[in-house]
Amino acid sequence: MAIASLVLGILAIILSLTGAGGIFAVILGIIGIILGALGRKDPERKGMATAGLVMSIISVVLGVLLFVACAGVLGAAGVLASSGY
Amino acid sequence: MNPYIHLFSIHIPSYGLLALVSLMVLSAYGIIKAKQNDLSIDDFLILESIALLGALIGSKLLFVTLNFNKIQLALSSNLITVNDLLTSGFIFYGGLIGALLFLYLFNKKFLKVDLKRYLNIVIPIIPLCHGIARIGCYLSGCCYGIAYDGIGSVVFPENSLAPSGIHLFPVQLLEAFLLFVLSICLFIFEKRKSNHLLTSYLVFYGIMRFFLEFLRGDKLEKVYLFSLSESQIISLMIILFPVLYLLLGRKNGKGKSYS
Repeated sequence: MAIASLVLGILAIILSLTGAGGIFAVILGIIGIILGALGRKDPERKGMATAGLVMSIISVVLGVLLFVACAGVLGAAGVLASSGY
Repeated sequence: MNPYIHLFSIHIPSYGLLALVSLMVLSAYGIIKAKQNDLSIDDFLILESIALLGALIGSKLLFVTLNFNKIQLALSSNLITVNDLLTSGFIFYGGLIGALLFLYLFNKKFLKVDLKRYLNIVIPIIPLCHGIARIGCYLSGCCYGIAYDGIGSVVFPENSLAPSGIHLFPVQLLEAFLLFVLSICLFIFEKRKSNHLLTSYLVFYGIMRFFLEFLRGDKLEKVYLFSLSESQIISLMIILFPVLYLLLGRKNGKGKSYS
């Protein structure tokens, strides 16, 4: 779990920085946090799990900060309203 | 009111920034309270992440389900892109139901901790965090109010998601204010050792949201049934379910707490 958390954390940071898939970075980061926190229960791999946890938290922070644009999306397509839909 | 904050060459969405602030407030408060109550910080982080995952999936799923035809039309007319759809369009109630469902199922299957204790430590702060996110809605112009030119009306700029140049009711700010008041009430209930924190939160938020929906102007985002929006119908269910549960529990003499 510790290794999986670290891998997911790194992958999520790369995804969030490249802008290729911010929302996927958030989802991978959240899974990374869950695996990292679960991995910290194993004393032998606590260090690696903590690293994975930190990486995953950073990726979620970047993903939410840069890519969550607004609560509504169809409002942006306001033209629909005038088209009488 | 500015949908984007420009920092050097980076454009940061105001909503994302406020959503992040609310998430950080929730996490910091939850970690402190977990420590004070001798609960595991790792378990709290796991539950918070599960709730966040459930909230993301639930809010998006409800939005897409309710607006499927409109989304199809908007996508085919190139009014929105798939990326717009992924980064925007979340329904709060979908998120709330998704978060509670994911928490219950994950805890029952894997974590097996006392979920009620973990929930009770963060419930009073949830409306505060929701209120912070609502300020993000105000900044980006989404979830806007009805046309209104009385005291406190707002006019959104051209680059906003709300219709520009029209005086609108600042419903996002009113909701944020009411959520802050609800948060204070829940902190008082917590101090009085109330066993019904979750019930109180759901019932009071449901009532608040039911009436606030009448002041919402973003009709395009909503689906209506018998002149009530989907959020009003869910509000009614959320108000009635705990009340009925408590009444039935009392009638059967169980004295069980919903929360």
